[in-house]
Amino acid sequence: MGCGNSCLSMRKSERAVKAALIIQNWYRGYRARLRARQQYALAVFESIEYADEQSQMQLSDFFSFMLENYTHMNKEDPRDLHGKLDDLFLIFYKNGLPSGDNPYLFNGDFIDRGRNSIEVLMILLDYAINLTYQKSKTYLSSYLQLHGKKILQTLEDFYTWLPIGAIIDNETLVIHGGISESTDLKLLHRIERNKMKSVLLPPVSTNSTEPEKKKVGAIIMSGIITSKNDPSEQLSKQEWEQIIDILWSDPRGTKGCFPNTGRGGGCYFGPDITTNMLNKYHLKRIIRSHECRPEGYEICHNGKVITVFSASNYYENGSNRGAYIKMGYGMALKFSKYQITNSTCMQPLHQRVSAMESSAIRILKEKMISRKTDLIHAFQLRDYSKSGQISMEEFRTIWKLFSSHYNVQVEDSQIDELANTMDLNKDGSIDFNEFLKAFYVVHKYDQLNKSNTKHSRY
Amino acid sequence: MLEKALLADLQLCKPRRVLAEAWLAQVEEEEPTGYIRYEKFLPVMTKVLLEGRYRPVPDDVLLQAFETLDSAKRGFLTKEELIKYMTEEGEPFSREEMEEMLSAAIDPESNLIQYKDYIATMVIDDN
Repeated sequence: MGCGNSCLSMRKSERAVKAALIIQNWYRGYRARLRARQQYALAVFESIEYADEQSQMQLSDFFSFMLENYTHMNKEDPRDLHGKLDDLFLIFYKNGLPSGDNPYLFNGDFIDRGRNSIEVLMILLDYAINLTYQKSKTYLSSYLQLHGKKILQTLEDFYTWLPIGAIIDNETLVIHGGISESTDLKLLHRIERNKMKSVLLPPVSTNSTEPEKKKVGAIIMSGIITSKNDPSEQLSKQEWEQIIDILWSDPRGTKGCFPNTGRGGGCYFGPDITTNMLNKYHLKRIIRSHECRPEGYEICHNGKVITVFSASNYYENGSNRGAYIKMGYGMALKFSKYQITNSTCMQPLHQRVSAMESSAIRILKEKMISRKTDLIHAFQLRDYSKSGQISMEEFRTIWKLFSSHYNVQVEDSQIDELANTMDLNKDGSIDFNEFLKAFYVVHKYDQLNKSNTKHSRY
Repeated sequence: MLEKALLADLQLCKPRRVLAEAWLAQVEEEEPTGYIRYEKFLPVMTKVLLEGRYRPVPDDVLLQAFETLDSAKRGFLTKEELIKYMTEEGEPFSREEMEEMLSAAIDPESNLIQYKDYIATMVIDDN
């Protein structure tokens, strides 16, 4: 016989170990594939978002310009915005309302794309919480322009006074985007930040022979608006670029500093840039936001850069968790993750990933389709009886502004033809709502002018 | 965070074969630092996975594994049993991995893991 009971049980447990191993291996492989899919779904969302940002920037800039010159546009109902009020309430619920003993720092983008943008903003103002400057003012413009110029003006002024960044306990730098190799904290400290009216309007040089004449700011200045662009009221080019870097840069694994081609502004900065910067100013770490993270926060550059993103389910239900950081003097940082909507929070990973993938694919399809839609089709789709109207005359003038702004030559006959096509009921006026939509579609076709309107550094 | 989890999962999967493959050259850095950058790694690995070069464990093998653990041949494992095996034997699960597996595997009404059904669901989803 030889073996006996002990041998038998050993064989059994050997088999059990082997079986367990098989199951574990299989499960880990499955999870790895799921995570790769999740990462790619997020990449799709991100690239759409950043591509959108660039065209939004250009479009929004033009709208601001139009606002200056066309004060009698009709008012419309605002578009549907997506909500992050719930996240804010959750944070307050868990950590108490802001007060002198319980300070908060909101690192920007707090109302970007939010269904409850105004509510969030009002709540934050109510508590006069520390707010760091954020770039979403440009989106605010497009949505709020329809509510009234005065509100917009006040808010724009308010925004220009928000701080650009913060240093906590002499060791943590908090900024919205990131840094560049030339980031100069002393200079940033000195800058009169209220002079930064918009991240979209680079300061104009007074030397008329420079190629910058063709840039966005120059065109506006060259004919129509005069009062606000007095050189003493502007930042210098260097100051402006410093702020852009702070607001728009993203950390990456590669060493060095490269133009941020994804966003069209700021740069990609590597771990060496971070180390140099922190050493130069005797700081320990950078906390920034600006990029959505699946787990709400992410640490990179050897623990020196922390990305924190507080809007859960940003792209889609179940797409990501939100997070916030609790700091105490002399204490380690405490991270908290959460996800609004219980239903998605507890869902197994594969369900969340599937939902995200379907959503990403759907959005991609929509983008592809909208590119093919021509102006007439866009008009014909909608019921525009409730909307405001613009007269043909106004339309022609707007179009002329557009062509000079973007340096496109458009013939008068072409404008007439376009106007007539858009005026479907032939009453001599065009639906404003549809004009906006069609305008966006046209703008996407406008390949010619992308290089003209890019950020001056690139 | 994400990249570490992904790398850990793949590492525990098939350590030796991964290293032996020629495509490793694609993900190495220009100046060999001995590290692999995640940004380079992900697209290459994804391609590998898509091409099916690392096929997941076949269903019948997986089923047999579960049946081995279910010595009484009941057709299910209790939650405690699964946890014990997964966290104590082989290459043990972390708490996070265990929780994740349970969230999908466990039948909430009976609190048991009906492994045949579980395998069937996972297979559909993975394809």
